[in-house]
Amino acid sequence: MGSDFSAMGRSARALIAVPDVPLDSIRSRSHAARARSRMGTFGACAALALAAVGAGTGVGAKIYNEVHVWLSGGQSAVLIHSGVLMRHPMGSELRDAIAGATFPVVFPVGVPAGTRVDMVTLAPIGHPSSITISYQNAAGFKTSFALLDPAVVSADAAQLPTGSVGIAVGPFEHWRVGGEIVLTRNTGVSLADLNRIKAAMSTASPGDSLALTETMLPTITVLGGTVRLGIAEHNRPANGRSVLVDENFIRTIPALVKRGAPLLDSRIGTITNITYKNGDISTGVGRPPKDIAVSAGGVRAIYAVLRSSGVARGRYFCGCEMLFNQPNRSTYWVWQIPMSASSAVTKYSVDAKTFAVTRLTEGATRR
Amino acid sequence: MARWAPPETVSAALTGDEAAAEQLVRTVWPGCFRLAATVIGDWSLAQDAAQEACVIVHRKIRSVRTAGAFDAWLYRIVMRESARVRRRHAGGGQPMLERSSASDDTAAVDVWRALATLSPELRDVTVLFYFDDLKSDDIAVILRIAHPTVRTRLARARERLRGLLDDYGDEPVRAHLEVKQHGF
Repeated sequence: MGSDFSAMGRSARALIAVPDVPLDSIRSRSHAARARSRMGTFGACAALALAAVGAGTGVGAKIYNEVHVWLSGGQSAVLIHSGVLMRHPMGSELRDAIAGATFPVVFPVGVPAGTRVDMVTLAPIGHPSSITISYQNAAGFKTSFALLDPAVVSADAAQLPTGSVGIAVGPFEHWRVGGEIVLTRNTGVSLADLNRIKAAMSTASPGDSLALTETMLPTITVLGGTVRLGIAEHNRPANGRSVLVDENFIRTIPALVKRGAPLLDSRIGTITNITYKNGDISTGVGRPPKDIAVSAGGVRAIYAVLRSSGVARGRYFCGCEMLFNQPNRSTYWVWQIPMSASSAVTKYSVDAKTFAVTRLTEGATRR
Repeated sequence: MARWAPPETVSAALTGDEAAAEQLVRTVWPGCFRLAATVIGDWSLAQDAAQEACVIVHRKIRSVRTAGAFDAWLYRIVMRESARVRRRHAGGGQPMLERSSASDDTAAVDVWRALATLSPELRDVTVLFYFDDLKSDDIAVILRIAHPTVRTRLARARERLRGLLDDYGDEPVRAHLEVKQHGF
């Protein structure tokens, strides 16, 4: 036995017989998955993992406003031609998005404490008749609800559309609340939670449910799948736009600095001209983000903090998320929020002209 | 540090070129398979995990923003897919010794036996730390666990391996482990 465990392990690993790369299989599976994900999370969220069906099925000529949902026994299918995808929407954004809804929207109420809204999708664009909202919390509650205009639902379809039929899924729950039909899969939610939500929704008004939902939305702009949102919200200043940037976006900062480019707000996107093929989403036209979340100067400020806090060039991860705010024209504020819960948040001030970084005391990070 | 593929291969794939993506998959496949095999400890299941990982590489390579970010991204994918496959298929399969060309190599046999004594959690950090020479804070990010948890798991793994190596009477390995323990 050799004396160097590392070397021994590496050489043992090098002796492993490697099978041929199954490139054909990888290629075909990749293409199939790519087609499914073309529509972003509509496949997972708007459709609630219901089956997507071919546009040309000709069944149930009740297509209304570019959305149609069929429910048949324990299975369901959905057809959508365009939509809006909102990741981590803020209150005003959600209010604006549902303003044109074709039905009185009652959002789920009675969800467990500590739950946050991850994502909202609306279809079609402008006058949504289908709204899905996804929740999760640290205790494992993770589910989505589709809120539908009854006009787009064939609730007792004799069968799902045939032809280019999608995937059969089940079981799911659906019930009616005022002028909407609510649909959810029985996964990620306990029966007790579901019953409580049903009961609470039956007495909630659209306005009340929206107000409760807003308490579960982020109060800052969130870029990426952040895990430190609570800390960031606690530290955010009262004024100015605060942006939380997750690790993946932080990794793009050096490239943006090099190009002198801002960090774009990619939370909200639209997809149009969705087409289906073989029962699955085939193509769609997405609109790239144009809104700026962090200016080019702000991006430089974040980069300056990264460098000053010891994140070396070429490192993959800073092990942190960054909260950004510009309190005035001459200053940027950046909070470095470590991923490790035991590490402290550090606040930095960055001069907007020289990009000199000053580490502020930790006490200054608390409002 | 280019662990998985030359930077130019990664950069070409980042442009969205299909042929470049396939070349990248061909390049990273042996590494993906070997890493999966090491952490899963099963030849057949490692194929599943490596294939899942390569499908993701092929499909999502354009989402990687820079070539420098590729290595860590792929580590995460392979470790995540390996853990998923391991959970799905607890027990059974083809142990590494049966499919390793080193089945008559005493050192390699000892490595597989030593790793087999570790729980999946300890095995993951041990492989990344000792075989891949990753730093504990990078391991924390790859495995999405806290840095102190990595340290704790490494310490536990050392304890277990030390006991095993005592049985073999291997003083040099013990000394090496001591050095590594204080070196991270």
